[in-house]
Amino acid sequence: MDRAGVTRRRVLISASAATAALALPFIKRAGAAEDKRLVVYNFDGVLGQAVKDLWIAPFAKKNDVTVDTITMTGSSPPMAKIKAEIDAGRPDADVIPMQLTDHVFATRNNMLQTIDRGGMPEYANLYPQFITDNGPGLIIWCYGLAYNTEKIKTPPTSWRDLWNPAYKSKVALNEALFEQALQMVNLTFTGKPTPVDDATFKHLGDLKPSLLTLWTTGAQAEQLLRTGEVWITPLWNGRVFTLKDQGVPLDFVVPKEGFFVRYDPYCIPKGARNPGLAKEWVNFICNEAPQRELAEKLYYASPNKLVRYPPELAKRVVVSSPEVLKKAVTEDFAAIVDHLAEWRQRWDAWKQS
Amino acid sequence: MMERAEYRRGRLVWFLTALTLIFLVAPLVVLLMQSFTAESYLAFPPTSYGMRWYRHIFSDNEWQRAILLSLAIAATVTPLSLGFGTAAALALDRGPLRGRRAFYTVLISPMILPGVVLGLGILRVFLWLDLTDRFIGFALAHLTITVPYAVITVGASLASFDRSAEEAARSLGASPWRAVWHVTLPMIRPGLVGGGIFAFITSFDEFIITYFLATYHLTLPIQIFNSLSYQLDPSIAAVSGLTIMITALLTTVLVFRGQVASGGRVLR
Amino acid sequence: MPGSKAERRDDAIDRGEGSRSALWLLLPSATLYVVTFVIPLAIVIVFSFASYRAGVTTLDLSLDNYRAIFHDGVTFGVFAHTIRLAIVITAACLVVGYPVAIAMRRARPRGRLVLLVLIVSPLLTSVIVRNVAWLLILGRTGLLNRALLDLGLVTAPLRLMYNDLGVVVAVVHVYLSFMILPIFASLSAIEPSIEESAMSLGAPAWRTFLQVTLPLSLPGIVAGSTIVFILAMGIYLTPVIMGGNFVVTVPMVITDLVHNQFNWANASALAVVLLFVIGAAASALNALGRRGRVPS
Repeated sequence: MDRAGVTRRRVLISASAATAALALPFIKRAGAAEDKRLVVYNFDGVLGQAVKDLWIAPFAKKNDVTVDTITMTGSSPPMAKIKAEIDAGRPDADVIPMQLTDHVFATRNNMLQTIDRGGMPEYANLYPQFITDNGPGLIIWCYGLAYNTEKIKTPPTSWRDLWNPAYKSKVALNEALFEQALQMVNLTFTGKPTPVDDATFKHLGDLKPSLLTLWTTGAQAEQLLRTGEVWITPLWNGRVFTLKDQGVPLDFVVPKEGFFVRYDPYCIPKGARNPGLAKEWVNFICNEAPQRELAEKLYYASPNKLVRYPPELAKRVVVSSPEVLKKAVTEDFAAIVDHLAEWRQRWDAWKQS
Repeated sequence: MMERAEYRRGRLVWFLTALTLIFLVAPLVVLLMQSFTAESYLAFPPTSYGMRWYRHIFSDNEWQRAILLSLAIAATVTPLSLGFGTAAALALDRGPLRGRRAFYTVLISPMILPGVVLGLGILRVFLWLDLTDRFIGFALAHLTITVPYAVITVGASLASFDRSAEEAARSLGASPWRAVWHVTLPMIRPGLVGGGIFAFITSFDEFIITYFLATYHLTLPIQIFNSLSYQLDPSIAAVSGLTIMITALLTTVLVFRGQVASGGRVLR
Repeated sequence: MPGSKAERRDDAIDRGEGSRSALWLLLPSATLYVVTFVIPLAIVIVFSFASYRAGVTTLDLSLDNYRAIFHDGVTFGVFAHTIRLAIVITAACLVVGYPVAIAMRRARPRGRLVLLVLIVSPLLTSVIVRNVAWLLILGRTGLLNRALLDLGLVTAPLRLMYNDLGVVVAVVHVYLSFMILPIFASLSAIEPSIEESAMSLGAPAWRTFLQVTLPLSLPGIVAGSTIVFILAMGIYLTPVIMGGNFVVTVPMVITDLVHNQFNWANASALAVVLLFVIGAAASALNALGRRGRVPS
């Protein structure tokens, strides 16, 4: 066989091996008995690790069950994929934390189970406004202004500081929360988050020269702030303080016009394999101890009334009491979802102008 | 006079090529340097150096499994896509003229349809066939999007191919298949190699469709994506550094051992 | 024997009519595609006619989604921008890549291997990782700007990122090999004797290149351009990082519709139109490439 044949023979052999490999059925992992196994979607990064350490491990140990996690990217579960799975009757996970806008979509598309409040003893200790029909809203985060303390000597006090010409090309916004950005613009110039109209986009147009970039993930935001490319941007309170603890010259302010508060409902999809265990876990994580521990670690507030924040922590957590919560902007998520398509198009048009 | 012009053009080509190579390699050098940072975030140049991130990816099971899975899928899919794609390219080249454009467009369409949409469609079908989160599912999906590369590159080689050699073989009594196998395919080898490389890379890098299909069995791109959305940490620089160093090593071995003879033949 | 089946088949092939039996070679791909492409595509096409309201897609079929693409005032612009970008990227890859393909052809086998590895090296890393590296090079506090500032060549950092330029640079960087290899393959198929005889007849080197080499490498140019154009029309991650989200492409819009708006109806319609546009371009390019076929 000539030398060229050696090459072709090799191709043929690897092709047959490949076909043989494909023909072998892939053996699915033999897991624990189904009723002792819980699958939950979990965040990535340090948040996900904290949830694993403080909410998952103790529960798994205490109840002698296995809890498997599926990592989400960017704190939003893959709703399109989950919907396809629910439609096929086989959702991958038993518990899914989601964004409030995801939650509206999920309820309108009949994707979630309704959780009977009677079956959740810990609900009695939660502030009622955080309890949805499909699960409790946990990990309360707020959006305020993060700014570089070395470059910006006087702390900003208003959202309007983003428009400050001194910060030309040093400002950024979160593209993934563009609908919140639109509301923020309205809040700044009209005092109310809606309606989103021509005036909103005119003000955004005024902001454009100051904008360096629109980031999508927390990782990008962090990188931009660390390198000093961006001096000021709306950001999660928890993130800012975590970075501050790491030595990055950052601080967080609650602008005088108001700040945004959101949380992640922990829901159970229709057709979940283990809804009983799922409810047990969700109830467990609502308890004072897991809630307080997460707040202490990552500075996100808890909906549990029993959690007490020492003064330093209260400042970082921001939403430490119902009084503070009253100062937050009221967002109508159903309305946001209704307008999302229209707002998105105008946003895209503005970006290209 | 002709030789001097030739010589000048020769130098111009090499100069341009050198510039391009610097352009191609620069980010990789940056990544390689980044991979040796001892910090927990990315900054250039690194403020301190160490093997921390290489230790991290070697000790972390998740990274190892992801790399192995991606390699296994790509190694399986590449020869198959070359086979399917070459067969299809031959069919287009030797087949009837009518419908050629239509067939060609359909064949390359999986590469064109946005992955986010194709991925959801494949997910629905695979949920029904119970092929999700399984090797065979990944392989079939990857095969579909890599066949177009073979169709295009092998098709181009066939178009450049002077059929007289093949016809000579036929006139000597060889059947059409033997003529193709022994004469044509060796002569269009660069097209095959190109198609194979593209297929391998595409499969190794494929993210979105695999993302829809995977739950627990994560490929390298998914692992990278997962590790990058919360924090840009240097473990990805280490993973890239590893890939770069292994490739460099393999190439050096191939170049300096006599294997160059067959290596050169591959690219003849 | 005259008139035999074999001879009639040969005559058909010589006339360019092609042999029917060759179509059997399409069977493997066809079988695969039915499951993994045709059925998913059918689902997509059905949904492209569906209706979307406030987060819910229902199968009230209509042409509204398609009408919206042309009349909503934004999508058409995004389409135009995406196509413009893709053309620029393809042209850049062609201009930058052709000399490298020539160099590969002229190199000895060892050098060829090294060149091949270097050319393919950007593909060894994943897209996000590459973009991160570019961030470190092209950013305002990045390598390039710092070097330019230190050397006194500029007084303020250049805006090399978060715009079209950043996207083009990063995309050309990775897709260059998809242009170079097919061109190299085509150049390899050219018998050197053709060029040598042209030059021995008195044609200068540049003339030989333009009138002999370049046309003969047309199939490779077309193959490379087809692949790069298709890939460039499909970018959705690079514009997010390198374009700072200011650069909007059609695949980005589709991704947003699917992931953030639960809108498979409009997403599917956009995907179908995209498929149509790119498919038409690719098949037109392919027809162009067949003109460069070596006559036998």
